[in-house]
Formats: sequence, structure tokens, C-alpha cells
Amino acid sequence: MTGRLVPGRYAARPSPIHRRDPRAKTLSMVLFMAAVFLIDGWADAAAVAAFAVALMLASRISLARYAKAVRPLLFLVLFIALFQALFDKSGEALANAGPFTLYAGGLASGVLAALRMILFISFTAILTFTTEPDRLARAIGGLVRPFGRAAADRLALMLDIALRFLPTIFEEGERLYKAQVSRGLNLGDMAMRDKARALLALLAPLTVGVFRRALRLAESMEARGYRLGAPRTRYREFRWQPADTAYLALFLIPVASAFWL
Amino acid sequence: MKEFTNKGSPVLELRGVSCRRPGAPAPAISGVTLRVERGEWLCLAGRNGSGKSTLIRLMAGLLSPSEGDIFVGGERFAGEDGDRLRSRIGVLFSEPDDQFIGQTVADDIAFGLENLCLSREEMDGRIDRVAGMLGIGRLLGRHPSTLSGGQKQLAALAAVLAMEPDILLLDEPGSMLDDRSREMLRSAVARLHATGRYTIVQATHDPEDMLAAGRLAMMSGGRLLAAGRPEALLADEKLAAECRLETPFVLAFCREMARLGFGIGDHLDERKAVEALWAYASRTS
Amino acid sequence: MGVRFENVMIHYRDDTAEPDAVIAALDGLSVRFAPGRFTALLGAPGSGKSTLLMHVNGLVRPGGGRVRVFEFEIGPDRPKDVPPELRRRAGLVFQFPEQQLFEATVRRELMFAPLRFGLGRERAERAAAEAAELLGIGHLLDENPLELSSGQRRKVAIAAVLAADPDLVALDEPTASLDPASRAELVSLLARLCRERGKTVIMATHRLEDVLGHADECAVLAGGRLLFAGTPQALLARPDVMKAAGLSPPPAVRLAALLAEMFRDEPPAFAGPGELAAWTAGKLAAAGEGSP
Repeated sequence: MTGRLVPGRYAARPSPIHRRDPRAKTLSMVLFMAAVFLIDGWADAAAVAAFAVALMLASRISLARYAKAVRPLLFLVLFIALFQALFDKSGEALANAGPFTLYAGGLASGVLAALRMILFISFTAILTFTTEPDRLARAIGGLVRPFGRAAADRLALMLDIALRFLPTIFEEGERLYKAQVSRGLNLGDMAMRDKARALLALLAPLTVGVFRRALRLAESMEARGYRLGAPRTRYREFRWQPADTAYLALFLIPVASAFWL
Repeated sequence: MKEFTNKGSPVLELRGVSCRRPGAPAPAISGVTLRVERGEWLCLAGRNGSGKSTLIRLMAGLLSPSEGDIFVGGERFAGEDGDRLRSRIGVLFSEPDDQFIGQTVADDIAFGLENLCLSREEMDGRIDRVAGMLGIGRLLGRHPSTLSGGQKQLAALAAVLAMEPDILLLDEPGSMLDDRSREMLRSAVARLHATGRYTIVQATHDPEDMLAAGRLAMMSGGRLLAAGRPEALLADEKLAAECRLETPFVLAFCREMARLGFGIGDHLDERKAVEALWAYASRTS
Repeated sequence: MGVRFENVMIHYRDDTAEPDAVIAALDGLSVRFAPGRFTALLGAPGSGKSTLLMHVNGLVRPGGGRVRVFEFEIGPDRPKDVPPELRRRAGLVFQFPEQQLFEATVRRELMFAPLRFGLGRERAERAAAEAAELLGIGHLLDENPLELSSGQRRKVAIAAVLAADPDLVALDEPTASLDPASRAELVSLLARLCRERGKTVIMATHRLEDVLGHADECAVLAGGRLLFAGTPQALLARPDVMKAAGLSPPPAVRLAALLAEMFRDEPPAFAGPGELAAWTAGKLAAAGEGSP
């Protein structure tokens, strides 16, 4: 029923960000990470945040959606913020709770740490919201290519096949679960020890099924002339455009701001 | 289209072929000798486990025989030259899902073409051509999860045809499909056969396939029991039972009529049987 | 008693379509499956057969209407958890059930369900042996299911459900991909289960000829609705229903219809080709005598 690996992540929109080469978008992530890492004060934090928000708006996806992307990792953000806050003992003391004292400097550090995490997570979302999973996979393959053609091609093919089959395997897992439940499997009612054995009833046939599938796929691939390490052309290739260079260059702005402000 | 010579010899030939999997108690195939002529459509029938699939894989070069020889167009199938001969052969398997690699039908057809190192333009040309041949142009942009089993098999067939083989091996392509999809696939194969450009070997236990094909080889326990016209072979009840087939009703009816003194010939199709009956009735009245 | 569906509705979202399509898998379906009878559930793929079957043991709850299985009632307002007793008494065999095999021996596989449902080890072993005998695989109890042929694995999977001794056996396309002789064998076995052990059998299939001669009743589905309920013979007399449901009469029936047309008479009842041939011979002889 689900056509894509993670339904709801990729959101098609007619935006300039969507149209960019996924390789450019992936590389821009690296630059953005550098910028986030270089943030050490309010001014540069504001600059980088402004940049991120501008791009999110350009992607034509609601800011609320980006905010939701942060939600699952909120606990991590809070943990890091708290840790930073209690670790930094500069400035005047603000509050006391048992052995822990919160200082002004700590509060600032904590908030900045939280901000950095949030920026990082929400920006990653730009990549996954604006790029289809298979294109992303191909981009990774393409970026790795200069380091070894054969290995990169294999990696790209592996990612491609995984993306193609993971939904199928999830569906099969669902069916298996229903079948075993029909035979009396009741995970809710079981002791931990029994639960582990019971999970075998799901994982074992699923694994066997996956291996069978893989063997059949390998036969089909071999019958269609696939040979490990042999040269192949590509049906779908990315064409790097000037706009992609421009997009990548844009990211020098947050890096520079974080560095100098 | 590639030009293949060897007009005289059979396109595919097996001589005394046996195949034993390592550790298996009995050989999967023993002593099979079979000729397939150019342009034929041969059906391989037999119960599950009779060796049909193994035979197909041997012909495809996916397995090597432990004894005997396999010839493609008169040349022995062996060693380094194997790939050149293998490029003449296309294989369609029975699991619709497990032949589909790409994100879309077009991508999947392109997979084999990428292996052939074709240019993008050449790939597009072949994709459009095979899509036209099988009438699946509107499916080219679709993701496999949105296709029915029958559509997936047609897509897989397109991917095979795009490699431009002249020999098609089909391993029970319809066994996982419902009747309607199987019918769709069968007419596609029939159309291919009618072009005269393909030699087709199909493993099946569907009598409709055998009726469409015109030549039948029956297997049991890894051996080839008989080869000939489906009407003749299927009317032999012992042979049919051994291969876990049933003598088709219409054929059995014709045989019964003959026993009762009304010889209307052997037919697998009920309309032909009734036509023959009409002819008989008007002759004798 | 038996199984009864009353105006059952269930929908699911298809998010591959743009915009998201809401598909009615079952659309106001009302049908009754008589206890102790063999009912064939017929229809083309996508007609709702599988969805219907999953209601029978409570795997799926209807979005509207209710389903009554024996004394249990399943509806949208009912609790989500289904009593294990229902799961045991309503046995469901999925399509290609051999994919769910995982134990090291056939015996352990067959014991899985009885053990889960609370039978002790000894009783479970006996249940396993009995189920194996039923399917004719008693000699395979110590084998590894993964090493058996596909036909044998199919039997193991079905025996695994029968081992819990359900009162109702619902099967989703149990003959899929089997060779013709194995298909016939399996269906007559199911018919025996019904006749000799009084079990209620519901068999979903898209092939009418598989069940002809064995099924007591037919329920025909199309587009999530009931198109027809009645005996197989009554169904054969309704070519409009068969066409609408995507079913085709078996060659024997088609031949008989053509012969009936030829001799301008009703098609006879016949059990095999011999009887039909005898009838035809009789007609030919009569025609020969009648002509001047």
C-alpha cells in the first residue's frame, strides 16, 4: 500500500530547493554543520538561524512541519541543554536545586546548545523533505564515486535495492504477524523470556523469506547481464547546473557569519 | 535486432544432461536429451519438483550440468564464451516481486540496458519499443508497489525483451497470478511467438498454456518422459497422472466419443470439439 | 450460529494515490456462512475476499456493521482485544501459508498453535500427530519444513492451523500455485473436514472450477459487496453474475452449454466426460433416426 519507504517524509513542492541536485544538497549539509559548529554567541546564532528559516520558507513547506521534525529528538535537545547549563559555571548564580546551581553563563550555554541542536535537526529535515529517498541514495553513491567506481556503484545499487524492497518486506512482516497471531501468538500476554522466543516466530520466517527473495533477485540480475565489477552506464544521472553551484556557494554565508560574528 | 546464424541446427539442444546439487541424494535432472527448434513454443510440464525449473536454469546458463552438454545455436555452452551465448537468452521467473529492481518500470527495464553499457538515448529507444510491444506505455512511470501481479510480470517481460534475446525461457510465469492476469500474460507470449522472432520454452502446469504452445515435453522425477503434441500426450491418462496433470475435460470427452463410435478427433478447445461434432453430424445424416 | 456479516463496512486509505484515496474494501456487506457447511467465497482479486476473511477471527474490526462468529460479536464499538477462544475456534489460513513456517521440525510447527492456546505438551503432541494424519503428512513429522517440497510445505502450514482443532476453517486461496492434481486433492480434503468432522469451511478462491462438486454454497463478492449467495448450480445458471464477478465457468460447463445449444435442449447433469459423451451420443443417434 505504501509506495515510498517512509510515507510523509518527502513532500513534493514546486520549490527551487526541490529542484536542486541532491548531491549539492548533501554537500551543503556538511557546510551547514560546520556553520552550526562554529556558533559561539547570540549574533552568529541569529544569523545562521535566519539563514535556515529563509531556506525553509523557500522550500514551500510549512515551518510547523519542520518543527514537528524536531519533536522526536526533543528529549535529546533538552538533555544536551541541561548538561551544558549545569557544566558552565560562569556568571552570577541564578538558582539552586540541591547540589546543582544554575549560573547565568550556564543558562546562556544551555540555550545556545539547544539552539544548535534544533538548527541542525531541522536543517537535516530540509534534505529529507525536499529529496526523494532514491535520489538521495543515488546522490550518496555519486559523491562516493571519485573514491572508487566499482565500490561506489555497488553501494548505489545496494541502496537502490534496499529502498525498493524495504516497503515490501515491511508488508510481509505485517502479514506474518497476522498469521502468527491467528495461530495464537499473543505478545502482550507473555513473560519477557517467552516473548523473545515468540519473536522468533516472526523473525525467522521473515529472514528466510528475505534470503529467498535475495537469491531469486540475484538470479534475475544475473540473467539480465549483471556482473560484479563490470562497467555499466547509468539510466538516471544527475546533471549539475550553475544553480547548484550557486546553492552550494550560498552556504558560505552562514559559515562566514558564524566564523566572524 | 541481432542477426543469428545457424539456421540448420536447433536453437537449443540438451544431450544426456544431468544435474546434481551438491549434497542432494538424487539428481534433480537425469539423462535429459531434448531439441528445441527455431521459432518453436515448447511447454515443459510436470509436477512441482519434477525438474522443470532446474531444466530452465540449465538452459539459461544459471546452472551447470554435472553430466552431458548444452548447446545454444550449435555451440557448446561453457566457460568464458558463456556470456556471449547467454546474451541470446532471456529468462522470466515466477515471482513477480523478485524480478523488479528499479523504482519505476522504466528504471527496471533500464537495469539490463545499463549492464549492456548502452547510452541514455539507446536505452530510451529500447524502453519505448518494448513498452509498445507489450502495451505497457502507461505503466512506465509507476512504482512496483502500485502494480498488480500481472502487470509486474509484463514489466519483467519487457525488461527481458529489451535485452533483445531470441530465446525466451519462462519458468511458470503465471503460477503466482490469478486467472485473468495469467490470460493477459499468455496472450502477450502468444503475440511474441507469432512474430516468429522468438524461440520459447515455458515451464507450466496450465493446460491452456500447453494448448497455445503446440509442443509439449513431460517430466517426472528429473527425467523427460515424452515429447510431442499436447493433444496426444495429455490424452494418455497414465502419463498425465504421473505428471500430476489432469486430462483436460474436453479432450477426455473427445476420447469417450471416439470409444462410443463417434470419431470427432482430439481437441482441447470446446468450440473446436463442437465444430467437429457438427461436421460429423452433417456428414452422417 | 455459524458466521454472519451484517452490513459490514471497512475502508482503508491508499496513500500512493494523489490525493489520498479512501477505498471501501467492504461496502455494506451482509452474508451468512452456514455452520457445518463448505462455502466457497468467490470473486476476482480485490473484491474484498481477504478482508472479509480477516474479520472472521477478529484480526480486523469492521468500521461499520457487525460480524457474529459463533457466540462472539465483533463491531466497531466492541473492545479491540479478541478473546483467545475465538482465535482458536476460528482458524485462518493465509495465502501462501508456507511462508510462515519457522520451526526446526514439522512436529514442533504443528504444536505451535495448540501450545499457544493453552494445551499441555502431551495433548499438543497428539493434536499435531492427528493434524498431520489428516493432511497425509504423518511420515514427515521429524523433517525440517524448509527442506520439504512446496506442496508438502503447504500441507504443513494448513495442518498447523488445524492442529488447534478449530470449529471454523477459513482459507484464503489455498490452491494458489499448486499443480492441478494437488489442487483437487486439497479441496476434497477440505470437503471431507466438513462432512466427516462437522467443521465450517470457508474457502476464498477466484477459480470456480476448483470448488465445483465440493462446495455446498457459494458467496460471490464484487467491489466489497455481495453479488450472489446460493448453490454452485444456481450460480452456473447466472452467467451475468459470473461475468460481473470476473468468474468463468469451467471448460466442462462451457462444453455442456455449447452442446445444449447444438441440440436445442437443456444441458444434462453429468459427473464426468463419460456421462456427457453418452448423452451426446444419444442425441446424435436420435437425430440420425429422426432425419428423413
